Amino acid sequence: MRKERMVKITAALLVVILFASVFYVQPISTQEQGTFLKIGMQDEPKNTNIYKATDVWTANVLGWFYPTLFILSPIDRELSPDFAESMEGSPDGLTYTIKLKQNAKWDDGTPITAQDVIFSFDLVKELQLPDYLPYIDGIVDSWSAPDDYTVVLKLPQCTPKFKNSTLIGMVIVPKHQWSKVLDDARKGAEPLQIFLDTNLGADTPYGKLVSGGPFSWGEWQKGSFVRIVANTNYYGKGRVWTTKSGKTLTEGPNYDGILFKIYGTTDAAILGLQKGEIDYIWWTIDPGFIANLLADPNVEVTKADELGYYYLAMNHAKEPFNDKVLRQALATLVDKQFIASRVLQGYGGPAHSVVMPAAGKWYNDGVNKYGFGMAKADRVAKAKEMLKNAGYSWDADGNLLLKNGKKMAPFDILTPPADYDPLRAMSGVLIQEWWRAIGVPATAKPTSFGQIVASTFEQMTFDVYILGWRIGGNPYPDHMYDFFHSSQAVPDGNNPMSFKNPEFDKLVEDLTRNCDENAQMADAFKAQEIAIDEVAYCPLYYRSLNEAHRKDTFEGWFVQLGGVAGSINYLTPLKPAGAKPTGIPVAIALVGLAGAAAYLVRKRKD
Amino acid sequence: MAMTKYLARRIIEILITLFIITTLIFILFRAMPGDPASLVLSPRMTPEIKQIIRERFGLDKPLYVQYLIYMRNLLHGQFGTSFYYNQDVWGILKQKLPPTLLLFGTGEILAYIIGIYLGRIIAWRRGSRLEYSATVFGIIFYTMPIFWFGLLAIWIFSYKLGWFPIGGFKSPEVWATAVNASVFVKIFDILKHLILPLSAFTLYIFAGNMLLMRNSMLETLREDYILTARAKGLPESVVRNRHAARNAMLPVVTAMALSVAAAFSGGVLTETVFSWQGLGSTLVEATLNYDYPLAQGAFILLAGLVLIAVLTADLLYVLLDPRIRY
Repeated sequence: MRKERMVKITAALLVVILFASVFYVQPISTQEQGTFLKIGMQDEPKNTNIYKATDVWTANVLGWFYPTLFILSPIDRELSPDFAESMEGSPDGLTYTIKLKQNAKWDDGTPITAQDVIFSFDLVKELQLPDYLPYIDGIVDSWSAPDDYTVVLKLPQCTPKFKNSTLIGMVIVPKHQWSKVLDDARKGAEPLQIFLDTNLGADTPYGKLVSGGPFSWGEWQKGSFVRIVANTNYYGKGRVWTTKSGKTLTEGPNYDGILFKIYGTTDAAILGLQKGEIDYIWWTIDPGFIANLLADPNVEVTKADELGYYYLAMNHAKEPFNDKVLRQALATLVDKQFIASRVLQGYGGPAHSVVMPAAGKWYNDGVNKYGFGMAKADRVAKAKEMLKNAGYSWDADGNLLLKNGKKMAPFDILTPPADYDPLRAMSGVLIQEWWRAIGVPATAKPTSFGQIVASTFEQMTFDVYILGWRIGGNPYPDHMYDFFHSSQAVPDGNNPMSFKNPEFDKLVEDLTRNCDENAQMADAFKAQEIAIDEVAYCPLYYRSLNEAHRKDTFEGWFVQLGGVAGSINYLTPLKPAGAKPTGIPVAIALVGLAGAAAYLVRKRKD
Repeated sequence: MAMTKYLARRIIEILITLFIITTLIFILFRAMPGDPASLVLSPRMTPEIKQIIRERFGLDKPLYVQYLIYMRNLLHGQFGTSFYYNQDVWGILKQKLPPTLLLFGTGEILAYIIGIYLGRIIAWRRGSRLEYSATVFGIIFYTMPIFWFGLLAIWIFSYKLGWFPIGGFKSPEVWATAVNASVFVKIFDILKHLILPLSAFTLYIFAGNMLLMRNSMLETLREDYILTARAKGLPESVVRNRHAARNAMLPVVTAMALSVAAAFSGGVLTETVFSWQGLGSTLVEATLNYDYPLAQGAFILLAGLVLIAVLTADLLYVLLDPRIRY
């Protein structure tokens, strides 16, 4: 009995100590650590190798450390010098001489010079680094450094990709650190693999990650948080951006660093934001959460455009989708306005072209909009008329009969599952019903992402699928070449639809070769018309990028294409403001615990 | 001697089982449609670049070659390098395992302690209000979706009352190197993060143990030796705890061993809701990302833990029941 009582007393004491410890750990005053911008992310970075930063979470962290020659200015998105000071092109547009900033240093004090630029280009070419090769392959022929602050780039032909891709995409890495990584990689049988498998860090032979950006590497407590600290050597601090609308932004950072905290779900991240654990959620928030956030006086919800869109694609290489009239009739039946208002709940809009309105001057609003704005009955009537004129018919049960008189075979519309993307899954179901209205035997089939990719991009055996693209921050629509050029209509290519149109091919080839902007725009407009007319894609909708941040901790937030952090450097103009919410009630918990402990140790009769 | 032979035989069985499991894991992953290269969907990715990626991952080799490389590495104790983390898989697992063991190991033990304690009480007081209320209470938590319950707990205790962090394992304010907090403070910080997920997980699973113990107790109470113990005039608590409960615990011990697998794999939802970066969420993420080495390594580790748990349960029987000898 005594033993049992002692066990109970010990257990009760342990419980009380455990809970009391919760309230013992007082957060260290933030003033002792400095002021950090706290950002919520859904996952932590995977590695510390910028050349292996293929996922967004790794890029969000590592993207702060490496300059590029040029960047897109905030809000107006115009090509502006970053590490470069100025650039002069030869009359034939094939040679560019770039002068570099002479006061720029890496965070370890080593000057950033043209040797770093040349090394970075050489590295990509030597190892054929998959994610960076497209920035130079076929675009830049050679590169040299006549002195420490001048780089000369030579192009084999004039191409807008040089300014729209190479100058803003090629990262500059510190030669004095990465040359050791390259040397070690060369010693192995597979240098590319060894190089990409290498991580930097204080616990590696290559030392702490060296940065030339606004922040320096701090620490990474795996599974918990990443901390980066302000780089005192950052060459861009104090740089002033003035937008066309007259807004002035001064680059920082004006705080001590960024703390990336990991949240497994959007619900937890939103609670963390509202509680004050984080200042900003760095991913798009589903419309279902918006109302709750709008009701919070300390949180601001922003809506931004992004260049991506969601689309339906049919397999042009398979009957009966190889018939343009059928594709056009099916496109006519899709009620994009319904999807935008009911499925997107207004957080986005109907997409008509393969270039988004957010691309500004590149967007052709004059493309065929098929049944847009028509009532359902009118869309059905129009689709039926188109098919009837083309030789289609219907049987007594209303099933569509092909030109050869046979019933159309049932087929699947592959969509991501609802837990992956409820919007696309729902869109698939709606389209299924709209098509069935004229006897087309479609069935929306939620399918794992891997299976969709296997059926479409790899094997090209699909009939119809719905997916989407997020297209970088640059409005220049060279993605039309990547998605629709006939050379991409191969396994592993980006044109699984097998869309092949020689006139379109020529237009997008010229788009990537012609340096005259007027000619580029004419090509882009005509290419969009053809792509939509042929139903290379049936664009469905674009989503607005919904984000949330606290109003009371930092000021100077602004929205642009791609969101608040539309480009990495654009969080640096923020300035600290206001107090943080605090408070941990103790008394109630301890009273309750005392009661529980008393119950446990009470004497009872058996 | 008999025990030694038994142990040796069981270890050989475990190794054979592990070999079969590792082969099945290899086949299942390769049977999934798609591959790591296909997940990197980018307009910049030409077919040639995707092929480079596949060669880098060794996926261009014939399946049997990939299998032989995989088994050879395993025999050398190497799980390979994660496609996405660029790190040795064992290093990643070593890092992810402690949070999982801490949360689910502690949760399992607590759930069993509570379940066994309550199960024997309510069996002893069959038909009482305590039995009915404990059973209803337990079933409510058992059938409640853990992700919903977890989010509700976060909303109430972390957000509204502010008692606990929203999620995670550590507070940067305590663990950042620059802060230089003491070990004592760091331990309490982990405890602070642990309380809510631990409570949610324990509440979620204790009911199964409680009901199993209750049923087992009810059967044991019908045994003749219980009647004998009462007839000898032993106190009720001694009859209950030392005679009935001890024998009733055997099926519960078996269930405990088998539930290890469920705890780790089912803990995925708990880990996700509470942002607890452990083995469960790593396993799911690695599978979805086609990170074969990491997913395979995690599955093999999980299988090994389950097999060891089952062996431990077998050995515990010897302690619990003197009639059992090998």
